[in-house]
Amino acid sequence: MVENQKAQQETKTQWRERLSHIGSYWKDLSEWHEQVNKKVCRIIKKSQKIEILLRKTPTSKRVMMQSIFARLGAEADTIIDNMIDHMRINSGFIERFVKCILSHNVQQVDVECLYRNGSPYMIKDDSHLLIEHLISAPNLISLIYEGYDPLHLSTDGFHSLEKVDLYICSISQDAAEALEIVRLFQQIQSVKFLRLNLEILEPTLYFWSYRRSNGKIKSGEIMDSRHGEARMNVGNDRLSNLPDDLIHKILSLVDIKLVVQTSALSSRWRFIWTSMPYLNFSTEDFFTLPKFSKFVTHLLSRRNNIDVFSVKLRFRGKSLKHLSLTKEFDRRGSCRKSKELLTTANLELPALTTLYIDYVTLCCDDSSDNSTGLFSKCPKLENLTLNFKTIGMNGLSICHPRLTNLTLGNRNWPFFAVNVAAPQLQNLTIDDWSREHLYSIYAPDLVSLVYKGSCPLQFSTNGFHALEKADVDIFSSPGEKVHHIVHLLQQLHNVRFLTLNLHTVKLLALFVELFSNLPSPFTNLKRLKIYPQYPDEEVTLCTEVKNFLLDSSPSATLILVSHEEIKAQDLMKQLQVLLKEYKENIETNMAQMEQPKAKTQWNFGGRMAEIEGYWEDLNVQFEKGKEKTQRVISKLRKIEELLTKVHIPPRAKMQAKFYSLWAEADIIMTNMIHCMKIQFDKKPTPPNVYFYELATTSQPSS
Amino acid sequence: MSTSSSSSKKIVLKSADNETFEIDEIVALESQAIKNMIEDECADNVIPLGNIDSKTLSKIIEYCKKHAESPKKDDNADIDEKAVEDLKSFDAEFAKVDMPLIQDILMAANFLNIDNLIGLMCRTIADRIKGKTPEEIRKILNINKNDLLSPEQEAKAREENSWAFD
Repeated sequence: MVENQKAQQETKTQWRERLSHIGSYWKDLSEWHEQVNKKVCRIIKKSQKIEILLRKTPTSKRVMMQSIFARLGAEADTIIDNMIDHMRINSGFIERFVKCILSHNVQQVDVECLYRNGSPYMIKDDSHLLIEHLISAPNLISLIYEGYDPLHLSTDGFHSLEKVDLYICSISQDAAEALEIVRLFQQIQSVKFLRLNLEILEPTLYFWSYRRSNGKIKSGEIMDSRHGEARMNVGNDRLSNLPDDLIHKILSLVDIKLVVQTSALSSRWRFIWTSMPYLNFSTEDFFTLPKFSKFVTHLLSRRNNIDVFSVKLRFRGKSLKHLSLTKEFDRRGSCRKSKELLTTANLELPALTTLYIDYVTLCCDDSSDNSTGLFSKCPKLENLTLNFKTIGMNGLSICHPRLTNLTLGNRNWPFFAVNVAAPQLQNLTIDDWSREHLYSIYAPDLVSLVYKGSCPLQFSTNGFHALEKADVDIFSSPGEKVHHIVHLLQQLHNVRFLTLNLHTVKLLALFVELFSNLPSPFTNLKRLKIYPQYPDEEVTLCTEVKNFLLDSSPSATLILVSHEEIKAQDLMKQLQVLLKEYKENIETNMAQMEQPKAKTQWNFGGRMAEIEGYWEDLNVQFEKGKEKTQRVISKLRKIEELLTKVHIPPRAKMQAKFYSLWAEADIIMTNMIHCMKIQFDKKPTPPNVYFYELATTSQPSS
Repeated sequence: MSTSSSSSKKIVLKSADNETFEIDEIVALESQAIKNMIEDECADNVIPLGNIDSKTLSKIIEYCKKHAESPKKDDNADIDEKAVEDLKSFDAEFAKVDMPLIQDILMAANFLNIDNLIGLMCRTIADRIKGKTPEEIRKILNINKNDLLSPEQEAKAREENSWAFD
């Protein structure tokens, strides 16, 4: 017996260890991911840029430059390849990367650390790392640096430095930075060809007190050098040289299908649409709603992770049945500030049956008729979930003959009266923690009621003949509201399964005189459940309250639930839903993966696109895997902890369920890692021959 | 009919091809970039605009003049509808130029930071490419021939985004 227990304990420990192993797998991967992803993107972007520029170069020079480029390309290819291999072993990446460069006896270094979307510090750090290694490259001939901070070189200089190209757009522009730049100039003093952007000199002017007046350098002179350069090459195509944000502005004015179609225009336009911050969807551009919906899904899944600045949605929804409008929170769980999802409260959708609105601000354009009935132009509505803030509404009135499910969530409504008139309503959920509201609800056929709020509901009907389940969670300070609670309970007199939170019960116990003379209202009660809000609250029930609640239903069972039990059960339910979703995801994923990718004719663009696609897929896979695994693991741990605190009788049953969930979770998490491995192995194989041939044949004889 | 008083301050702009334009300060203030320079007292003498040629610059000045003269929206409540209409038809007329010039104006307006003009040029370009095929757009925008995708690349782009090409 003891042996058996010991063995069980050991198994549990092993499984726990396994859980933390899985966790650290994704954590390690995450570190790698951040570092490598940036590098590869940088290399690929550079290569693509070079390729485009090369095509514009006059033929005489192009041949020579192309051979240099080919050599670089081969090197980049090897490095990226190494990265992938290395990452699979998954340990310190940067050292390897630097070694790769230096082992080729580097004569040229090109660092770009302008940050986009990321934190400047992170990139600053890794550029440091790169630059510090340059000390061991005394033979440096060419240095190209592009970044927000001056370079920090710890060496005294490079004896054979030929060419330096600096593009520093500093942010701080103070004396310390000026000093930094002056020092940098001293370190590269032997350079023969130096190219600077004008902004570099600006902070140093403070230092040298060269400044003319008290103003800035005349902006006519601080012309963006890159623009000027680009202009010379292009003839009439000025538009392609515009910054992305201007092109986005233009594209925001045409229909969104055309926006995506611009990907076929030229290489400059190839991916512009993926970072569009303005999304204007309109069903008018599509023949059918399924086409529209397919388009929206494709577009959203292929977008870059650039923040959306505005979304406009217009549709003629003659046949629309389900509509869901939600504002999602970002990963940290905080709501992005000042961005609102707005919708009109006068939607006109004759076929709509399900409407789900969450974290949305409802606007009323015309304040005169907004209380006559929200969504009154959606006569077929059956399921309605409203969780909203509002502008310009002075009352809420929901009046739908077919409505069967209604969920209301209050976000600081500025009005007092809420009217619901729904003869067919069966399930009603109200979640209202804000100020007092008067609900008058006409719902004679109600079957299930969930109410959470600070003040009791008031119904205009007298009782519900079909009421099965009621879950009442009232949290208010004691006072005159208590008689409302009594009144509410009397209205629920037909209920069979009643759930109350401990606070409600405690409130009642403080004012026993309010109901000590009243008969117990519940005549059909089968089960009464009482649960606490907070951990460590002892669930008790005083005799008066017990009598009031149970006297008329002698056969009813009373269940006092501990907080942990409720919580654990809730979590297990959530976990179950998650696992089901993940399992389906993995299955579809695997099916997609098994399709072999068509081999394309090799060319430079193709190869780069292939590598880029590889990383993109990897990123997606990784992000998903990491997030999902973390969610599962944290849930598992929480449940396990909670279960130790649950009382013995329900625990055994719950534990059995928990372990089967855990086993299922483990399979799914293992599958996710497996998917990740498959993704790794889809590494595009390099057709090296071409590059190396080019590189060797065109090498100068020296 | 511009009857600006002779006492008002003048600003001199110099285009890339060394032509100079003397304009009233109030006209120059339409450009946020020049406004900043004037506020920083950097605009005492000639302001060199090394990336704007005289043709584009004179167009831009024409636009700024007109917009500086028209009453601003929040000036007073009773600005007549006619002035608004007048400005609208001026804008429409102003945009009737060829695409290279529109693109030059847009770039210059972006550089000089003239919000209204940027908006007008963006709308004009958008209107011209609306409902057009990629081939037509390439022609309309004079997309650089050297920058075109190879046939395979274009096919790939179309295949990748086939959900948007039907």
